[in-house]
Amino acid sequence: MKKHNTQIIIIGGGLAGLEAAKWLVQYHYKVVVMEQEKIAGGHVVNWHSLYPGGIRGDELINNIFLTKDSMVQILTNQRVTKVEKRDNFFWVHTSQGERLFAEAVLLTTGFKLFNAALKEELGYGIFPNVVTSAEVEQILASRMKPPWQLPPRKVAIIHCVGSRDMKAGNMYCSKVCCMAGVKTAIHFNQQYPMCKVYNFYMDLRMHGNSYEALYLKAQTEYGVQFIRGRVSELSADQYGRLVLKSEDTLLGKPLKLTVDVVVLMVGMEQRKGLVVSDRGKELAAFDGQHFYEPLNAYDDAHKTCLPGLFLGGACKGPMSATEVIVDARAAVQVIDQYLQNN
Amino acid sequence: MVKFGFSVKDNREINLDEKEPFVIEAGVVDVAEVDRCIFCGACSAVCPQLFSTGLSFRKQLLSARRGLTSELKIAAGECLMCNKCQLVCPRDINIRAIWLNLLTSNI
Amino acid sequence: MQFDWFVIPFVVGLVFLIGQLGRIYVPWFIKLSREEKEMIRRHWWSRRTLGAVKEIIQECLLHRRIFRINPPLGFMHLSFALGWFLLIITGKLEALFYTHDALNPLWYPLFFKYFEPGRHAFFGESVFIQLMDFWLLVILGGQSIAVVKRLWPGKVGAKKKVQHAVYNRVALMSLWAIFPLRLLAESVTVSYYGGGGFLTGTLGTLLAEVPGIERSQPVLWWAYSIALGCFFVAMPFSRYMHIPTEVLLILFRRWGIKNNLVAHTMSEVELLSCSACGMCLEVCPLNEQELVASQPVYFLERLRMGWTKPSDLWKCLNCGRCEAVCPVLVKANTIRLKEKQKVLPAITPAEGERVKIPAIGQGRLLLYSGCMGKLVPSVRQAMDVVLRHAGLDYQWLDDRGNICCGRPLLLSGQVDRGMAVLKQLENTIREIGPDILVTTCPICYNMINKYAALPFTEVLHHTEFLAGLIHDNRLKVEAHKEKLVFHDPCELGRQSGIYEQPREILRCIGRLVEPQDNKAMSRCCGGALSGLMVDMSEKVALSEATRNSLLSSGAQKIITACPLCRKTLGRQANVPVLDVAEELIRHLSLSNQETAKEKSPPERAFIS
Ligand code: SF4
Ligand code: SF4
Ligand code: SF4
Ligand code: SF4
Ligand code: SF4
Repeated sequence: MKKHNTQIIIIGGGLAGLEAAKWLVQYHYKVVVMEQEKIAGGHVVNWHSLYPGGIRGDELINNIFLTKDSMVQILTNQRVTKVEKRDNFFWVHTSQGERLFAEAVLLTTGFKLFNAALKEELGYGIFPNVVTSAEVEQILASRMKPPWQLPPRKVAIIHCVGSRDMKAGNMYCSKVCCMAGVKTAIHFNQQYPMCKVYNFYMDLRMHGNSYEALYLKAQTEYGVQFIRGRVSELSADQYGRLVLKSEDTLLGKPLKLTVDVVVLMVGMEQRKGLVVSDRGKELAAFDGQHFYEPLNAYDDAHKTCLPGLFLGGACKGPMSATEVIVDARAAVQVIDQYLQNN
Repeated sequence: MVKFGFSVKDNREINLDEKEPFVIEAGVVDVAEVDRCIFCGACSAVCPQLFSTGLSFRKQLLSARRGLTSELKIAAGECLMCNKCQLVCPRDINIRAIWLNLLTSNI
Repeated sequence: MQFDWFVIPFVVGLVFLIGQLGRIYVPWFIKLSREEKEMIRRHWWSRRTLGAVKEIIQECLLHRRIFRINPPLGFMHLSFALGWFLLIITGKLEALFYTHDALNPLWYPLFFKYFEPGRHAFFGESVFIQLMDFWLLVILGGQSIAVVKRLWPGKVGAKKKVQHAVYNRVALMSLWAIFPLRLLAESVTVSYYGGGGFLTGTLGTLLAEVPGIERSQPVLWWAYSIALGCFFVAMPFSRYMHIPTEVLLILFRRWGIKNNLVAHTMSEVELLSCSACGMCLEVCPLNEQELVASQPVYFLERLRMGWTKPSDLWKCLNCGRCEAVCPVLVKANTIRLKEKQKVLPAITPAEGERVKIPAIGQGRLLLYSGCMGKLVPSVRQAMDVVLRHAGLDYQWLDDRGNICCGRPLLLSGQVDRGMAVLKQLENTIREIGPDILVTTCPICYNMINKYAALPFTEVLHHTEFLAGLIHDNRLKVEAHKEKLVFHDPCELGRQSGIYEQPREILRCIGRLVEPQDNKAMSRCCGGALSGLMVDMSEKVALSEATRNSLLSSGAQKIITACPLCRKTLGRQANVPVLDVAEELIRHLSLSNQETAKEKSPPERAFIS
């Protein structure tokens, strides 16, 4: 089989897409990565640090690029609007009206962040010092100017914004934000040593190796306060500080806290706008209302109902960076197997 | 009498073997709706009465689940019926209707 | 001979009816409060009574209001009411002219054709004969529309068919039987003796061909009388009580008696005045979604029967669309609120239901965002921007803790507690003593405006206040081309009558477009406080429908003036949903601050 002529298109040049491309090229396939932004790298490239080890996001992406083969073609500023299945190949349509040929397509479209302005009671977009977790990563990575002038003395981190919430239409846990919340608390303390951080959580989901240890570190070394209660009301006092109201649900008592900065741990959501059609018929499973469903969650976790169309990374549901890498590599294996048998 | 330096209180344990976990009467409000609660405290956080009378739906419901229903009726009488709680509840529980149900029933 | 045994059912029915009317009406007069009795005494011999008579003719006979909304239905009501009324009057006159005796028995004019068959030469006989037939025809015409409406409601422009309770069906059946039976009975008599008009005469001639028809004559007259008797017996328990009660209602209203939270009699008068016409059914947003049957037509019917369910009381948005179209002007939601009150146990308002609010300095301009406002901090933020721009000094009442206006409690049926909470708020406001109180929430506005006693404070909704600022040139704004549509919050529009001020503001900052249902017929956002037992799925459906109706105007943004509407409509909307103040701050002219200072120094109060 002439692998060099077999073209695979990867939609989404984030962590999953790049990692999969890197490995598919090692298998001697011709790989095209379509990225809608100006540069590839996805969300991760902006991240200040990735838990558990604390590697910078751009560093991780660069590591992948360093090993990249010339056979990987990365097309940026290319928004894919439609993936069309023909007999045993695909047409991939872009917003510029072009169409590319592929024998297999891997969707690594990742996720989009919950729009925190929808939970208007939390004041995002109204009070400048209410920021999302994504913005904090950029601020801590010095990629963005912080909205505060003086070093914050008190910071509140609010978990589960837009996750586990029927009202927001997201009935799932975004999985990474608990850990990211603890990590952010530590980073605030490292950057602003006088800072006191309060985490408001519903449940703390510290799954996996070394996560619990990080939680312990936040408690003992940095004195982070963990308060069980969901914040649902936020206002500003006359000095522009933010006043939170909550119930300390472990004590059953009302709680009021005035802070300088509020960080909202926004959840993950599926991206909309990609149409997948099978011989002219649009597939409802790809309407962008929910995360993409693979055939099953066990041994066919990368295949879809369309043979030749594969899924990788966080378009299947919330995932941490480490999980994304593992998942992308596994997808490579499945794609290779499919193309060998065809 | 032997003095221990402390006094022994009544047994304070929640005995789920003895008390039937309380379920709010069906009829007006879907009981299943109450079952959705994750005791997050968002409802009580916005409740205008939490700060004045200590009204907390979360606490009352959790107590009721453990068979402690003595304060339920009083709590129902404290609600201002403003519906802020339902607006923020992540599980969308119609809390006012449950209070109202309690007021009109004879639990 | 002026008697036959068959008149008995009619007479018994009529006597029973009069007795029942006495039983129902007399306690009403007794229960009237001192002030109400005084009002009747003062007004009954005045021009108000004349006005009432005019209105009775217009509404009880001609049914003008129904006519305006739905002409076929109006004609149906008109032909029944006016036809029957004139049939009775003409019959009386006919008997009077024939006998020259005003004191003939009650039943005599009714069964005139039976007692005085054949032709008689008395003054105007032929006119009477034709006229009586004509009125009968009018009634039968109306009746055929009624039959069509029952069978195919769509044909007469009624979207929904009202499902009636059993008493009503008995009454309806006997009512429908009366006039065809009368026609048949008279025609058979005429076929034998002659002397019919254009209707009975023709039918009589045709029937004369049927052999042995004369034997059916007593049967038909008996049936006619029984139908009348049945109707009179069923009437006090059925919706047809509205016929006599509406007359009383109009008189009472003209004499100045109102239906409110404390009125005893008037609620009952209105309750029995509802004709179950079903107009309210058509406009209720809950009904459009095929969701529930708590509309006044059903709710009041069940209330008359004593069968109300919790969903009748709490599965209603209190949006007031039903009241806006009711031809009888029944205040169904006031009646509903009083029923809620009866169902709930009396909870004495606790002493110190609120935290004690510390007094801080005096303020001439006081702002109040209310409970709901706290969930939408952007509105308060926007008001801060506007007021700073206008160079005004103000403070927020809400900074003193969690203050509620009590309206949610009131709407849920706990009226006394609601009023107690309002009293607390009122005391706090008095302590501060502002000249102007501006609320950003129509719910609070409605409550404070209606029930709080604040003689030295002008209570304004923020749209009124902002419109005033723009009008007085204290706020300079720049217009833009965006199409804006205003969603009338129920509590602000229908319940407080503020429609124009928000629109004035929008006209100054953009292009105002109007949806199909606006102002008095605007649709509820679905989140109304009163909809205590309206489920989330129903609320979502309601707000979806409302949003679509608003966007049918081609607007790019939905603007409203209520934190609750904004929140309800905004969730899942694909266009921005904003408060008037939020939209306003995007179009403040930058040079505003200086000009505002020149024009009028900030020391001067806004309204003096
Ligand atoms: S990971 Fe934690 S913060 Fe994130 S959604 Fe789950 S419970 Fe909430
Ligand atoms: S907000 Fe809802 S889920 Fe959370 S504690 Fe209250 S009722 Fe339960
Ligand atoms: S409706 Fe009752 S329980 Fe809910 S927030 Fe208002 S006062 Fe509290
Ligand atoms: S309440 Fe008014 S509109 Fe509704 S059925 Fe009765 S009379 Fe008709
Ligand atoms: S107030 Fe509104 S929701 Fe209630 S019955 Fe009338 S129209 Fe329907």
